Amino acid sequence: MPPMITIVFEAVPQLSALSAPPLPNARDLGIRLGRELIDLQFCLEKNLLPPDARAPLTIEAGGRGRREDETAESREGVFEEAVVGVARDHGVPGDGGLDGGVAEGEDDGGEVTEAGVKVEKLGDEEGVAGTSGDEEEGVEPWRDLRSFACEAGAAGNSCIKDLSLGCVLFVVPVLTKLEVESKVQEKNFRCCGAMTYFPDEVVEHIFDFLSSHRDRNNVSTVCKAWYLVEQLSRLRVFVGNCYAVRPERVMARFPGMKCLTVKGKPHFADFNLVPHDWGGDALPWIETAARCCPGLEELRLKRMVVSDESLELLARAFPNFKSLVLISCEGFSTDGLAEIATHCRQIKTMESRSTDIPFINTILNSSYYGYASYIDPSVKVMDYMGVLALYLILGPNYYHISHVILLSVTRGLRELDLQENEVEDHGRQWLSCFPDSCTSLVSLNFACLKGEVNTSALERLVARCQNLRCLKLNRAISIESLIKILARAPNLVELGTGSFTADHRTEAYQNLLNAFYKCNSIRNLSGFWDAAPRCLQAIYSICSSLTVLNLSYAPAIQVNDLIKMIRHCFKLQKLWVLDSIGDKGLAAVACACKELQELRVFPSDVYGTGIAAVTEEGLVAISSGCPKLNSLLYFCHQMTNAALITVAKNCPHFTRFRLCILDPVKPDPISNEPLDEGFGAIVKSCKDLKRLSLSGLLTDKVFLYIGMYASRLEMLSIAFAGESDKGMVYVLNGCKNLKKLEIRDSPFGDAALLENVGKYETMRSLWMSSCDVTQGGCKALAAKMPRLNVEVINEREESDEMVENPSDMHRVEKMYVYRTLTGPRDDAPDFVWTF
Amino acid sequence: MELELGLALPSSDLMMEKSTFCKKRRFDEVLDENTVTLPLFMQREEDSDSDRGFERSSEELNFGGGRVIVGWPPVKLSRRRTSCVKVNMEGIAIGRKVDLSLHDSYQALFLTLYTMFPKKQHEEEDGGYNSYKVTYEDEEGDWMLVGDVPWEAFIKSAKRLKIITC
Repeated sequence: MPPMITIVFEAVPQLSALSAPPLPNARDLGIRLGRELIDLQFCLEKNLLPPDARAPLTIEAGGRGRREDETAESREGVFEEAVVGVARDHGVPGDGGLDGGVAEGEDDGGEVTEAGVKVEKLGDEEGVAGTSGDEEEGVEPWRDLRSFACEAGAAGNSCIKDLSLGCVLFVVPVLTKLEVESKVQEKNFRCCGAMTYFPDEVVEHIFDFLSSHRDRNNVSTVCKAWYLVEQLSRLRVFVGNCYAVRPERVMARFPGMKCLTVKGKPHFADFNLVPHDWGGDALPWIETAARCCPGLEELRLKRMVVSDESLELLARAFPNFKSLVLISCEGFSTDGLAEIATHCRQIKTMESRSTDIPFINTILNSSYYGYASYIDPSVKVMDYMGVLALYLILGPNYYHISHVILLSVTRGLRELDLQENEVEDHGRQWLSCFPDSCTSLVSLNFACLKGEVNTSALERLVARCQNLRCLKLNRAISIESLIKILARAPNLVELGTGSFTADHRTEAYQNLLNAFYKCNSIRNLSGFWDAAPRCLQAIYSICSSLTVLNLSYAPAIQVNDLIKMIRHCFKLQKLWVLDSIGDKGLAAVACACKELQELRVFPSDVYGTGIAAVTEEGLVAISSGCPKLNSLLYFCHQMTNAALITVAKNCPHFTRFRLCILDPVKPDPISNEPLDEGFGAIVKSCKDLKRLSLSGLLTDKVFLYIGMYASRLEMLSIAFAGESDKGMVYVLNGCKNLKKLEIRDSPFGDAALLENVGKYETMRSLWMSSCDVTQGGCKALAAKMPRLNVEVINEREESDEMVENPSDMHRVEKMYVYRTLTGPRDDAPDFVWTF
Repeated sequence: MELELGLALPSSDLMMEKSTFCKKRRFDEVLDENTVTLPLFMQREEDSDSDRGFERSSEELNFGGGRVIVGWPPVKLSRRRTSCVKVNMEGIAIGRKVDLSLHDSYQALFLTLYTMFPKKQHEEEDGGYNSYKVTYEDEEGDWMLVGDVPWEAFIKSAKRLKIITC
């Protein structure tokens, strides 16, 4: 039996404080308190305890306390209070727990305090400082949680600091959820008259069906009542530009937030066009969430700078944290990952509306694990995991308990997904930091890490996480390890194979074949970093059930091996390959993969030695063989108008069409014409097109077509295209759903920039680099549109020049414009000027 | 415009033949005008205080031979299999980096190395360059003499170079 730690909370009579604002419900409060108790020291250091964290304290060893007199004063402001007590552990659960501790406590000479509660000082054995002053009276004054925590921490009282094995019982007198809501509704009713036909719960329930952020944003603009309901019920929050809004504002609006997505740097940062320390720091978001939304469960960050300090805060300040997804981020190291692995834990809560002695008895008598049978079905129960011991200080006549929240603490990270991040390797064996008690992992992706991990720790982790469904290994993992891992995780659905260097003539290879044979749940394969020719045979047994295949990091795979394998992949929906597949390989894909929806063909020879890999023929073949194709990223050496017109006819369902001709101004090689007509055909035919990237020789005409036809277009990427300002104006005036526009090396200047300034407030952002925009133009835009940030990035030479010769005529090399509620950002580095 | 990155010899004929554009394009201006292109490239060269200087230059990729445009083609860093390898010379504390893909033969590589580690950097005067050998570490971790395998195989397997005295 693990050591038992019990914490007893005394109920305080309920109040009806009508003036109080809607409360977090009992569960949220439980989470806050739980978080604080888990790591009080940490929360103190980081200043995470709310300033008004007051709680009247009793220290009770399980005797029966009494409250004789409820004064009016004790009613005031007690609404949110929870009473925290600490008791020594006194024995085994079910062991007459009710009385077990009483005997010891009763004779302690505790007296009734001012508030009428019997208290007992913490025994000297526990060495808690600060009680000595009251020894004579045996009275513990009311103290706030903070000072209590200090003492507990100072004394090294382990029963506060480490609750990883313990269970905590909160008895929290709060209004029941219904009561809270009826108060909210009353307010609403006063606001809106007869607008609310339905009670808010019904409206909220209807809103549950709205999953898209846009829909939710729209309903919240209907009326105040709906705004309030939506605001309190939104669980998933998406922030497309971290500088458009302050974290405090987001979290004040959505206090119930469970999942947060934030994006930082502009897209062109992926291609080195944004200087290294431009911004996008994740720390303010994590810090604010730690203070305001400690119930956060999922965090997804893209193109942000995440420090090890941020990761540590994340790991320790969110007791319910389940899932971390980092895409194209940087700034952290394996030390930060070690913090995540070590500290992430989960509080599972169970709450019940009514409490009475029989209930408590049942708890006491229950077995350590498993408690489901008693639960009131109207109550939400999360995986309950055991109550250790329970002491009651309550007698039936004296106390009125409205809520009991049982918390048990386990370590519970579910998902750690690192996609294409720059991670510094400090050599720390972060993977070994997942404790033995961690069995909750469902998804682990560390493919982007360059360093080695402790493979035996990995194998053990995989073995004990029976729910693991997605595992993406990095290049350092050998075939031998892979075989062992597959043996322990035959139920994997997504696998990143690691290096996959295997000589197909060896025994190891045979073992690999057998291992894959047993893994018939795999649907998604990637990795293959060093895959040698012929090694693909190892996966033949699972090919026919694959839906996603990523071979884009495997340059050594030969076309013929690829073709042989692809023939079996008739369920494939997503395929990522290198252009070494050639037109011939693409033809084979077109024959075999009739379910294909997404194709990405990456350049294998980025240095462009001129060997034609894929051309327009491959694309045409795919378009005629795969009618379901809706997403394309295609790097090629040439493209023709005729081919694009054919593709447009064959595949009218494109939502994403990104074509990159490696020579960015290459015309149609057959007709020597620009590619305007080809892209025009695409936008005309694909009415659902949301994202488009252009390349090749292009005049203003293509933009005329885009403005005319691409009404659903949301993101447009332009490079080395157009002839005059008219091009950009066509797009700004035409594409009514445009959200992101990024332009490089194109002849668009101030006239285009200033033609339709109101448009930029309907968009998330505009990026222009190496165009003809001048400083004067930027200033004019900033002056006209105060709710935009017009940022100019000055590389070194230019900034010197600009300082010496500040001139409105001076061309701006890089400009980033975005709508914002916050004004100029306060973390802009020197080289970023906001006009 | 000649592009001097200081890491490799100006490559041969490919550069001059890239003029088959049908119109004078914005892009041509990028290639021809110093004012447009120089700042971007110069920054990379002068970035000597930042240790990203040399690494960055490998990210400026060629397409069609010789011309280097920042951030083109638009491929993420993780996909760019950099062909830069570190070069150390025995007795010299500070190493260099060389971009193997900018060379087409062993001869070109040696020429670059001679330029990088000129005679006066070390005290040896006897025997000229014959007293030095260039070795490389392959993907299996073994140190091999440069020059035995075909050039294409070499650039795929070489991880590091070391110039040693015989």
